Amino acid sequence: MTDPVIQAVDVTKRYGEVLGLNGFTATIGPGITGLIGPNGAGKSTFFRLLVGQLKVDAGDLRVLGYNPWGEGEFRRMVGYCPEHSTLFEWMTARDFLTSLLRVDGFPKAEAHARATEAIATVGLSEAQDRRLVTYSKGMRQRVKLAQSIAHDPALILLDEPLNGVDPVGRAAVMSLLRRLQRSGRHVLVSSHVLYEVERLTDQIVMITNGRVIAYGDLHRIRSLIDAHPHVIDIETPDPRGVARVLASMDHVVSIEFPGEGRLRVQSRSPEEFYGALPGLVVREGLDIRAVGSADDNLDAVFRYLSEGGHGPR
Amino acid sequence: MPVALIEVNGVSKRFGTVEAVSNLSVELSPGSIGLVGPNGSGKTTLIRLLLGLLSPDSGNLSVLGCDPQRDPLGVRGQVGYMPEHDCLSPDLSGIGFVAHMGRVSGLPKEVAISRAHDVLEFVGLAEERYRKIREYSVGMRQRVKLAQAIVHDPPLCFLDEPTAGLDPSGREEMLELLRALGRLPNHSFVLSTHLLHDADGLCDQVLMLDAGHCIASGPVRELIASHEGESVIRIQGDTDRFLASLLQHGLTPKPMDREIRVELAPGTTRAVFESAAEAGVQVRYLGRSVATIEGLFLARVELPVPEDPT
Amino acid sequence: MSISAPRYAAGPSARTGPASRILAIASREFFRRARAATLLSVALTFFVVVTSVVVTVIFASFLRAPTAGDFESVYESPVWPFLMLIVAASAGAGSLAEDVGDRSISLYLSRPIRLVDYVSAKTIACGSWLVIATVGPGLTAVAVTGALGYASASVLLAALLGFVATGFVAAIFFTGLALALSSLTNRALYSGVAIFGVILVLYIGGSVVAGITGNIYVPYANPIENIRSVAHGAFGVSGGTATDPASSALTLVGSGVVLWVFALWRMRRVEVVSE
Repeated sequence: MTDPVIQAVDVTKRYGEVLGLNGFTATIGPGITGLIGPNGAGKSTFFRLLVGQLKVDAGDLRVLGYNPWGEGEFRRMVGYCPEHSTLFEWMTARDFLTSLLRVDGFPKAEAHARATEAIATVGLSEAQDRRLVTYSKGMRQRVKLAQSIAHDPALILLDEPLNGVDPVGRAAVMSLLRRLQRSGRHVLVSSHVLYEVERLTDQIVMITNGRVIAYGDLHRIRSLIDAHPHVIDIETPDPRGVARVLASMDHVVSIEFPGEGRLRVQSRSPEEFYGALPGLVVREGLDIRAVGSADDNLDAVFRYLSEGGHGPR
Repeated sequence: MPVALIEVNGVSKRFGTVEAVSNLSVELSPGSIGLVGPNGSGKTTLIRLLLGLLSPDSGNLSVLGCDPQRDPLGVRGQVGYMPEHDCLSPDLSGIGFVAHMGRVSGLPKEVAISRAHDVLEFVGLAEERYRKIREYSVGMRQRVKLAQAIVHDPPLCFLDEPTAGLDPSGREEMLELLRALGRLPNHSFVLSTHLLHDADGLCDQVLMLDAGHCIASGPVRELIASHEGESVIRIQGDTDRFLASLLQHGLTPKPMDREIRVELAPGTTRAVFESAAEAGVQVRYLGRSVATIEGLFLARVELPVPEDPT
Repeated sequence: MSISAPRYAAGPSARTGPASRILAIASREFFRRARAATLLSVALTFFVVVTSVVVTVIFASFLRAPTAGDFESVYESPVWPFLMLIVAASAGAGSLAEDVGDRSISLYLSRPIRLVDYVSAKTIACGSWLVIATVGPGLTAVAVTGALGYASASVLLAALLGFVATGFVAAIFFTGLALALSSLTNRALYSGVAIFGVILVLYIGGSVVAGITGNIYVPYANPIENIRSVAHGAFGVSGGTATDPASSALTLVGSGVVLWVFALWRMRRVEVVSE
């Protein structure tokens, strides 16, 4: 097991009476992790603590083994793409990135080369010498993304990077994040668009009201929500035969026949169910055409957890 | 024969050297219409043309049987518009603002006030309607924006990114509202969105633009029917071993995103489970590939950054 | 949250014409400006004009029968133009700027409203405040002196016409100026400051340049001198001004209209549907 990228133990951050984070505990990484939660849950506070823009009031926060507050060397190892930020409107994208890189301490020639490369990576080469003031919302997002990766950080923190980005840009950004992951970078990305998070990763951190309500593998999290048996839909030409086989498993709570050629199984332990299914199909010669669960996605899990387990609507 | 909601015949509009809309011809029937395309595809120009805020260089348009070029006020009296950006006067209450926009749309004062109460209740702001807009959250502002667009009960609404900036539950509620709106008889809308998944669940027709050209238009079902055939598998466990196993069973899997796509002849799903059993992985999902507006879009639009070679 | 179909209590209702839609915008704008700053500056104008006019007329009556010229005295000091600046800034500086700033203008223009209708509605609202401030106090002063019996009916009538004529000319100019400067920015504060800046520069600059060069056309560039001149003409006071009253009136009304057209032209930049 590799070291966690981010380790937060009981981290608390207040702004006067306003609570940013409240006893935030999570272990994050490696790879891509999705940070999700309602507006005002504390996501942006968490990001700003991670890059050392804010200081924790209490608790312990380790990022890549460092305490982010006041650690100069550490700043170069993270890239941060804030949700809202002002760009220097009168600059061209390339000059903007070059000057940021020079502030980071790169020599002029290297800063220029890295800026050009980062802009190419986010697909803005054609517009790189235009002033930022002419950029659309989606292009600005990509400039922010480019500045977060230009210095080749080990950890990239992206706060709503897809907000306002058009469909082509979204596909490009998602594919970029996967490339970064494959090249060994770690990414923490927040998004309100759950199906896009789900497409990127199974690793999530879900927060509400400054607290972590769940973190880790999405499917494990779902399995842990015992209050609601997992509903699994199966399509087969022989529902009765399949039902007989499945009924033998003791975690199966109920089996319904909602329609022609269909079967709905409720299981208390999806882990065991899915674990046993391939073997059963092969051994018993079952003909299962389709299998899936409407409960086993981020949307459903988010709803269970953020609404205090009121179940699907 | 139902009357076309929107007709566009050979419309071009040029700004300087850029042809924002290029010889565009489409016909859309009443219903829920998704307007999708990358930035600069001409969506904005098309909406401006349809609202009569711009005149086309050539061609003609018709909205609800009116020509927006000759009778822009006639068209705008019959449509609602919900902008993407913030557009609310913070000094007014929700009810004051919506009633005011109703009067500006041509409702008599008393009717405007009573309609404003109705639509604010419809969008779920009944309790907050007397509070000042400056105190509203992002989600509440989006609802007021929707309310002002429908206060004069227009048969057609243009909705520009109605879910932008909303958190997951806020977005789901907004989509639910739009679904409710779409279910009302004689209430059509054109939804412009970057979140194609939202359009998937909401729209029965779609108009896809790219660089001022129409790359697809018509009923969603007809358009995406031609994209079926594959099966999708999602597993939990060692993907590489599972892929190797599938290959041994004579299948040619294509890993995409976080799923695996594979051509399966009918009745051959057994091979998938056999591969899973051998590789020791769980099959979390197996089903026919569901064609989506997003899939159709990405198949027809050129990506500026090449997709990964995997 | 509950979702239910909207109730159509009244069914599809008849639509009002453009006039009542313009009126809706104008009345909302008018009442939006009825804030402390506007109300105080208008009240102050009433107080200053009425007291100074009544006192001047009463003093004049000790020596001779008051003339319409005695009513004109209020235009001789820079206090009155200064009060008009406050009213114009408070009632007009935000009229276009605030709608552009919060972008509610895009909603107006997506409705059955033309740009010229919209700007006209704003003009009505801003102009109403200015007319209240320019004409109202004069009429009150005429009524008070008349009621106290200090002036004859013909003098009162002449003074009344003088106040109405001067007031409307000044209101047209300040309305055009306020809207033009409001159309340049999306912050009411900036256009408000600009109203003061422009007038002070023209007032001081005009006086200085006229004094140095002695050119007889330079005073036309000074709106405050123009207003004084118009007042002289309207109240039948001869001489004492650097400009010709009729030409000054034409200058003020003309520049008011030009400024208004400029505001209209500036608003064309507003993009209703944005990328």
